[in-house]
Amino acid sequence: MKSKGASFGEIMIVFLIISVALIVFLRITSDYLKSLVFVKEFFILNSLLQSKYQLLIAYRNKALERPFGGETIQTAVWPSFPNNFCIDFDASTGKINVNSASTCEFKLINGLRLNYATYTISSAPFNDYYIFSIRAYDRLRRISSEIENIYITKWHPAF
Amino acid sequence: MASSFLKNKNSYTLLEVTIVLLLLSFAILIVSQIYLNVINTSIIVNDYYQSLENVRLGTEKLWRILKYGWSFKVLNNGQGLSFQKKDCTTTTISFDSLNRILNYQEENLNPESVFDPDLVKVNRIIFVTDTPNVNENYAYFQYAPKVIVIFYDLEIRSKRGVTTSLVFEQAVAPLNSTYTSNLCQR
Repeated sequence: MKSKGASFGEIMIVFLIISVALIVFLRITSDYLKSLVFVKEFFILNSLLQSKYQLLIAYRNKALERPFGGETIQTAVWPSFPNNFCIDFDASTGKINVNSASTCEFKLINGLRLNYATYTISSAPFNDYYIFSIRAYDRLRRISSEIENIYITKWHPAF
Repeated sequence: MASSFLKNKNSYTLLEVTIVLLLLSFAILIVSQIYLNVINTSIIVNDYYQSLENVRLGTEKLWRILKYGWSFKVLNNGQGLSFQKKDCTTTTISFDSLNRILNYQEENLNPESVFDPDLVKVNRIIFVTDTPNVNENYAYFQYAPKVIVIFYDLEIRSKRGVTTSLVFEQAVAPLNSTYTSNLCQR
């Protein structure tokens, strides 16, 4: 008499199909969520990079704030270190701080530190200008974002 | 033929058919639930993209206006900023903590929200500017802020009620901070 039950092979095929379907569905959901997290992190990293870029411009412009009697075109006081440095804004003193370091943490003005993300600023000094590159790196998600070839003159004329 | 069909002894019992239908229903239920979850996730992700896009538009608008602004003054311990736009219109950006929105208001006009209140709620906002290095104020560049830093603590929302936080900072170095005189005060 022919057996009505399913064979082991048939059961395995059914399980395989169900497993593949589950994996595909879960993968799609996970990719959706991952893409959201990545977009959000890129948004944060790019905002912070843009913020550092503006701080560099502001730091150069601070050189104009000198007592009268001097030249109208001032040379910006850039740090003596040639390669890497960090630039931060201290909200309590209202000062832009520049420190020599190869890797920097993101310190937000309310005291929050984004420990999972770091940035580096590399500079190439020339006679009249610097070329800066700022690179931010998210250690958790292993993503990075970069602004390259920022040309900033060492001086700024007063219009 | 009909008689041979009725005489077929190999047919399934009612119990067997019921069990098969039950198993099939469970399988369909599980698969459809997973499918619905995928669809829900994609809707939530699309909503978040829309909210992030709204944040980007709002912050870019502020960046553009502040870049060409004059006479910046921080208000209410950093919860607002007053300045003059490129056309010298007095403008205020202020945090409404009750409704959790960031208002943008030009002189003699009604306030408008920087972000869409349905998509973005503002938990906290801080405006700070740098302090000048000298006490002289003969020239605008001597006392004008060289940078305005804005700290955002936002809550972005999906239409399905799911929320996530977005904390970031924005800095603007105003172009007019190197001018000798304040064109809005002539």
